[in-house]
Amino acid sequence: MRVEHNVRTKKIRHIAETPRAEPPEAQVPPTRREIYAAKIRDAPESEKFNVVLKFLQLIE
Amino acid sequence: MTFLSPAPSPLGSNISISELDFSIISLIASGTLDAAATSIALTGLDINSDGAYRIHIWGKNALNSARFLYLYVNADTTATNYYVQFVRGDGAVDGGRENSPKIVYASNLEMFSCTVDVFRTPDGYIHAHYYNGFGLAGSDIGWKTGSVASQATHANVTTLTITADAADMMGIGTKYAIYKIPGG
Repeated sequence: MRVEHNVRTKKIRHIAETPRAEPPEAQVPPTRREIYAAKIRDAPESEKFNVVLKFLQLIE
Repeated sequence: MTFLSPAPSPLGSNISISELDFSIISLIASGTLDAAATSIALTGLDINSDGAYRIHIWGKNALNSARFLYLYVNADTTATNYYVQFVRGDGAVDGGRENSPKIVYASNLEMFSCTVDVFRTPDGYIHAHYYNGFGLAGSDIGWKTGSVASQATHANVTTLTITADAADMMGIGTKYAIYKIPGG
């Protein structure tokens, strides 16, 4: 439903509406926590410690 | 005991309603949704006469998915005709720039609130600055703030439309209000 509120006449109309297509950029951006969780998960075993350390420094 | 009198008003002692209306931010329309809605269009505006606008919208995301609200100017409802630069805090802090007039973020089935100030710049571009709270309660709170700018110029602002990216996202009881801010 679309609500049209004319601020001059004070008239309010309720109109059935087809929803807009969701723009591609409407996805929720990942938080920094999610980004680093993925980096830690995907890092080679030898690098995991450094990635965790960098993340801890960022959130301190 | 001596009582100090307030300073005399520059408008004189008999201030008319019209004089008062010029000097304060004033409510020009408000409402409460009695059914879920996809968009709210505020029409009959005249930013050239009114100065600038402030919109308050506060309510609930009725859908079980995180959603956004967009702010469109006049008949220009093409998202890519706008840009937004934002900062968001939700435990951690992030931000970015997007090619859309995105303002409100609302988590699934949770509350949101937003204040948006809308300006028409001297060259005719529209700027809108917003701050947006989202979440359910207590530590669940999140925050987003940003600025939207139109790519096109507008001779006036006669309609401002807040539109969700999914049908009937704004739940029953969602409230809105628009104020005019004299100036210029």
